[in-house]
Amino acid sequence: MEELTKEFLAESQEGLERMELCLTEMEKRPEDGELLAEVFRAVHTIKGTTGFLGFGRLEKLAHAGESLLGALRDKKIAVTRERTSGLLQLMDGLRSILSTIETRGTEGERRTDDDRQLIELLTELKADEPNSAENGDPASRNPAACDRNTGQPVSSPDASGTDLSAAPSMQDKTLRIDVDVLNRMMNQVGELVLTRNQILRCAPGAENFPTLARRLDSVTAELRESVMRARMQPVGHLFRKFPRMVRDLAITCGRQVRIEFEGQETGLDKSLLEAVRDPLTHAVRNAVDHGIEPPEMRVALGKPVDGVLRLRAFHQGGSVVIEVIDDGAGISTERVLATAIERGLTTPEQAASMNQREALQLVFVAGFSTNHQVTNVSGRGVGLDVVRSNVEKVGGSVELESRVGAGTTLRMRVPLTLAIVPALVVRSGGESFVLPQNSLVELAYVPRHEAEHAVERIGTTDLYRLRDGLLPLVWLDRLLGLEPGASAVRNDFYIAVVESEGRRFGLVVDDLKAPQEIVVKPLSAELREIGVFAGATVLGDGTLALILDVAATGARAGVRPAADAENIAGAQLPQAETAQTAMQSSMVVYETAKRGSAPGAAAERMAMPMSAVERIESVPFSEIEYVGGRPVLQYRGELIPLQDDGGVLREWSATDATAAADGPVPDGRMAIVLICLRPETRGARRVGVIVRRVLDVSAATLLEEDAAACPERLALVKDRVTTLHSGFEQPPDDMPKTYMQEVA
Amino acid sequence: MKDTAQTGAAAGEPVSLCSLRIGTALFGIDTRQVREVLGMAAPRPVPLAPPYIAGIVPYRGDVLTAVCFRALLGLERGTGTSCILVFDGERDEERFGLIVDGVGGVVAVEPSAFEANPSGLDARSMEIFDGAYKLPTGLMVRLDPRKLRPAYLAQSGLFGALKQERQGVQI
Repeated sequence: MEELTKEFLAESQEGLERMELCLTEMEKRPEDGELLAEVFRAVHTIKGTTGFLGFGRLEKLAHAGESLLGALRDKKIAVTRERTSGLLQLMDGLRSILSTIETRGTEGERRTDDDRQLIELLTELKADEPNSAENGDPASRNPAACDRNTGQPVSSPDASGTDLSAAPSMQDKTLRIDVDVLNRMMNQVGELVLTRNQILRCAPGAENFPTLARRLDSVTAELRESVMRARMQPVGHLFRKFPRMVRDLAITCGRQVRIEFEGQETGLDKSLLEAVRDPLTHAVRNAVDHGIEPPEMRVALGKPVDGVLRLRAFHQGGSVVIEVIDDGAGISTERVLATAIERGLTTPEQAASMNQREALQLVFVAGFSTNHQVTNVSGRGVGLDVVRSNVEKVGGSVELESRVGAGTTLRMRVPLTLAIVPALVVRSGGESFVLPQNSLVELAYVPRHEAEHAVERIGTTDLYRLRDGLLPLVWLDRLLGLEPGASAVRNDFYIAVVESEGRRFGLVVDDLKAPQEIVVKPLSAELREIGVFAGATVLGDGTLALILDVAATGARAGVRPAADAENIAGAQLPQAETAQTAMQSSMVVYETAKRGSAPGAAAERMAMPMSAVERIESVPFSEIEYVGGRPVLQYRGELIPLQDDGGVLREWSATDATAAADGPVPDGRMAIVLICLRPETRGARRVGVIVRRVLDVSAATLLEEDAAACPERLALVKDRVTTLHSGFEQPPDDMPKTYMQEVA
Repeated sequence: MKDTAQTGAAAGEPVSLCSLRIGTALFGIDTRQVREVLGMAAPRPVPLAPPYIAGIVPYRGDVLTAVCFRALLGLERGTGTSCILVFDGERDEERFGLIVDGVGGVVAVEPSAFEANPSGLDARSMEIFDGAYKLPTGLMVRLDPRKLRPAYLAQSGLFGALKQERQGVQI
């Protein structure tokens, strides 16, 4: 295809997308001339260029649309629902011709009749017919528009399909990048080449080699960052098609739905954007179809007639969260449980011990949704297992929150980028393997003297007691047929508790290595067929390591996905409290130094949102350095500022000073540092918070802010008031509204 | 990459072969089919892979699957040094490597000295050998990289398959 045509297609697709957005917006604000002008421009541009490129069919259709739009713009006729529908059909028509051009290189002559009908409709709409537009009964006279009103476009049967999946094919391959970003990348590449030249000229053992190596390191990091940024696309691109889809869907299902967006500018890697497109579409469909009640029922329930569907995106601790929130009927836990038992997905005993969150996760289990009955009973659950597996395929997760009568939130969490993932390197059978962090739940160490008794078995399954729960164990070396390491000689070993696609088990390995950010390399088809490995990566020392596919590993070892595998302490909580757990967030609770020097002063309990804490490190006191009186820490090649609000360092240096009078200062003192990620900030994102000791990780309920009574945010953790460490909570806008309501 | 062996034969010009060694046996591959020779390679083994796959090696920012030629011949894995020949895939096929004991020099041979596989060969040898050049010093077996491709070997089913049986959690 010609370069010019390609450019035209990409440009027109963009124009049509803008048009779609404006048209749906126009239904709400018909008096807004700016929207109309935008639509006019889009169609006008297409018409102008098509004439130039010689696409006659496209030109004719665009012309018909343009003259209708011209009349609307000049206020000769008023914007009505019917005319907007006509314009949407025009857009479908244009889009289908564009996709024909893209696939076949020509406009295609087979559907000429279709065009004629559409052009007729547009001309008809242009004529001033106030009564039909007002009485809203166009069915008798205008079959095409009528069908549009029921959500079934007749003029372009393939357009609605194109609309959802095939249309952006050209855009999939092209990406618009800011010239500045490109220039910056070019500069960095120049820098890289210069550094390489110097290194090549560098004699072995040269003095400046460490300097060069450092520069190479920083240039590489910068370049990586720029390329990743260039690949980032605002999530809004994904949201764009929803106003139209929701509009059509609402008409079909007889609902009244208003769609709202939040955080459209949130960036996400392009490939991931594509990956969440289908799951998100599915979730939105579900919310409109099954979540939001019909208008009359809403009125009867005392809710506003318009249902609200909110799409919200934001960054949280290295991943992007996309939420689909509706204020519909919600999902009844009892019904979900009843259905699950009926379908044989769980037993009544298991169901009885489940909390609300666990019960809701059952709708993601494959087999839950196949029964048609379920849809009617639970109100939800159409193919949600597909949503989950699609999101998990790209390393994400899905969860559901719901309150009966108040609405449902479906939350997808996807990593920022696919190519580079945080991972943990483990050793088993003398070889290195890589576990992606996103499937890692926790790590447990079994020392040698306990190894004998730590593993218990039922039948042929090895089990480990993890905090009163039984965890099935998988010995990695045995599973892979390696030289036996931990499993043969009763040595000490580590258990990596992993969870993926509902399978939760302990992977037994010989040793743990440092966590790393790894670059994923695909394996050849023959090796992918083994199924247990998701790829390979080159480790720091230049050797290769295989990346484990956790779900497939579990499946191979015969671990069944089961909702009963986890045994959360909250399972026995009374009903009222469990209903609240969804509104809570998990916090790291720690102790800071005593406030004031009064002997009676107790150490203060503080809490930090779990999502902000990246790692908990113990650092020798001697490694903490001071810059301009402020403590800093060299951490994995990064200089991070330390916060010592609780005065732990001060307290300790004071005790050291008194100790120094008696003798030398003891050297082996360790400071506990929470390595935290500051949300949404550029530059120094990591901060170290010095604490006296870490107490617990548990769910906390945020208390309502009351600046007058107490300047700090407080939270309830296990019924004790705990001060929240400031600066790491999500920006207030991101705080779900339900949070506040719930607490209030 | 065309079928260079045949075109060379038609022209009657000497063919240049890259000679390689397994133990004392000599093999040859048309030099135009070889992309690169890597010395001193230690592939990282892949558990559960078919026996003819020696493992993976890093190659130009990618991961290369390496076929163990010794395993194809039914020999024990070599213990000494080894070399990897890298072959480009045709069309959409992936690159792969072949691990041999050693790579010798380039030998020019007359196409007329070539003779197809004798009928007495076993099935495996029939599958991977092309035929042999009768050199004054002995026979040099010609190999065709297309027949050494992991996908091709998997299809033939002669060299062992994936260890696909499900292993439960048990000792």
